Amino acid sequence: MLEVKGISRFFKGLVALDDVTFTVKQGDILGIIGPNGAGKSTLFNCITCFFPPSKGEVYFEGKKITGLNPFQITELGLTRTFQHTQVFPKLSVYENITTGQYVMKRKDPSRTKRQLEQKAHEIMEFVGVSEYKDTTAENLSLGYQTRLAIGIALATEPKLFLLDEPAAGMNPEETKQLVHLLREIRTKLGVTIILIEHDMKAVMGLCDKIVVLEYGKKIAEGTPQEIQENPRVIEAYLGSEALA
Amino acid sequence: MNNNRMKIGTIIAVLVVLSVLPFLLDSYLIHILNQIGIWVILTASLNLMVGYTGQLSFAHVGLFAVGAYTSAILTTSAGFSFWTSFPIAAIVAGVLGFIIGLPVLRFKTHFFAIVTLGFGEIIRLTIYNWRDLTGGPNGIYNIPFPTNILGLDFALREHFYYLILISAVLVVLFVKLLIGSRTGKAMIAIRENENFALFVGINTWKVKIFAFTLSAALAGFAGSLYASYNSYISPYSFTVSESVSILLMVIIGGMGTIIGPILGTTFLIFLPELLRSVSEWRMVIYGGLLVLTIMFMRDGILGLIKSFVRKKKHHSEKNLLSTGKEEAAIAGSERN
Repeated sequence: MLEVKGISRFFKGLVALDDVTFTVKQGDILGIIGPNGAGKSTLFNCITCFFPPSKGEVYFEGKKITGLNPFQITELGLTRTFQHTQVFPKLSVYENITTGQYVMKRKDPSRTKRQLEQKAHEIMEFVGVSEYKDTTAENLSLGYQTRLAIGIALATEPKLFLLDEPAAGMNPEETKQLVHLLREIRTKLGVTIILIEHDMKAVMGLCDKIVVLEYGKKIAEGTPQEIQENPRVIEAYLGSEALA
Repeated sequence: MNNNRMKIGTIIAVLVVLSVLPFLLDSYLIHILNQIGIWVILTASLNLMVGYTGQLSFAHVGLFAVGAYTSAILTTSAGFSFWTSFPIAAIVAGVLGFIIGLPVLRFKTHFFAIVTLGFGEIIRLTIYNWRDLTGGPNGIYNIPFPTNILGLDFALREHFYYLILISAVLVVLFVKLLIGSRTGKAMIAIRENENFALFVGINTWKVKIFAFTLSAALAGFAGSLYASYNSYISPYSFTVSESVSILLMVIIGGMGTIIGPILGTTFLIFLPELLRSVSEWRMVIYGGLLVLTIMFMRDGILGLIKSFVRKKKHHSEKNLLSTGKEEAAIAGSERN
């Protein structure tokens, strides 16, 4: 469904990403992990056309998306959330969701206003924010803001959904609920997911496949089991002394 | 539904009162109301950028000047009537807004504010120095009033009043309709979170350039009325201090609302009249007001009125549903 082919990104001589290649299968949950500064968010920004890669290309469902604009790839069925939960703070929860439906008019012009309203309510129910329907988004707790951000992204009806550290700042209980929600997005909505996450427990429990980055390079790729046993990954995370 | 009906009723009542005012007030007060009307159009246009699209523009007084000068030059040297010159003034300001917008809208937040400030000054200095066309520091005299239509004689303030009133009402109504539209929703999404707006499918660049062009055209339209009403314009009417004034009107009234800028404009135009006796303190008082607004009433005069009404309602209903920060946070943690 998604092919990332030899993506590199340089910032004034600094190599943030170095020839990263991987693919994502339809229906999978792919985790991207790596120490701080490994280039995870840069990779996300290149995939979602937030800024272009210096080298390499990204294909989504066989179509090259590198060079397109973010609002165009949203129409193709690819969307994302940002790090540090991002919503539309001064709008109500319901307005946040309907703003997310902006793209639907281009994607499916046959949809009536009523159908969209109905859908917005379903989404609020699905992500668990419907009881705060009229609350201003900035007044929600962090956990609920994250749910709302996911709701907004789902309102664009994506096929592929990228989440940048959704569990940041959450307590273990909130993280557990988030993992549950992401599983439901995959099983009930059939959405393919890529996520960046630091919470190892969440990543290992949730993902089918994991890509590990260090200093902009892909150092490992495999199932959670394989990654946990990979000496290169252990070294990157725990330092080489741990192996000695 | 009931609430809506009340709103429409209030608006009609206000309009009725406004339309009979020339019969009740003296010429001096009508003059002040006319000024308010013109500035309401300008602040509505600025509000479109600052309040709804979230881009702090200081270029609007410059665009207002472009509208005023276009109209003034066309009606004096070129012999156009006001009625053909005012749409041209709006178009010229709009086109210039578009051209300025192309580079300027690449900047964000305070960088955008500073660059627009620069362009506003470039416009003013161009006007100041292009003597052959603009009369330089002497300005343009004897700008004709609009020619009579419908039995209205626009040399009379009381008659000009209706032209301004209708223009202001139409512009405010237009802004209101725009904000309710799909494009308006996109503008608000950009104000709230420009990056995320991209990922719900909004072409943020296109929407911003559209908003800037449109708001420039409205500023030009206000400028055209201003020139014709005052029959004299000079570069001294379009300084940075005017830019700050209109921004204050929007902020103190309540930006990002329809009524807020109208309240702010009315308040800040009446204020100097009330403070005649202490006029040298005017700027000090303005500054103090801005600080107070930002510290204590973020949503401006309108926000203050709204929270007062809400409090009264809450008091009577003992409403448990609250949108307060703590309550939502507590509710959130309880659910987990």
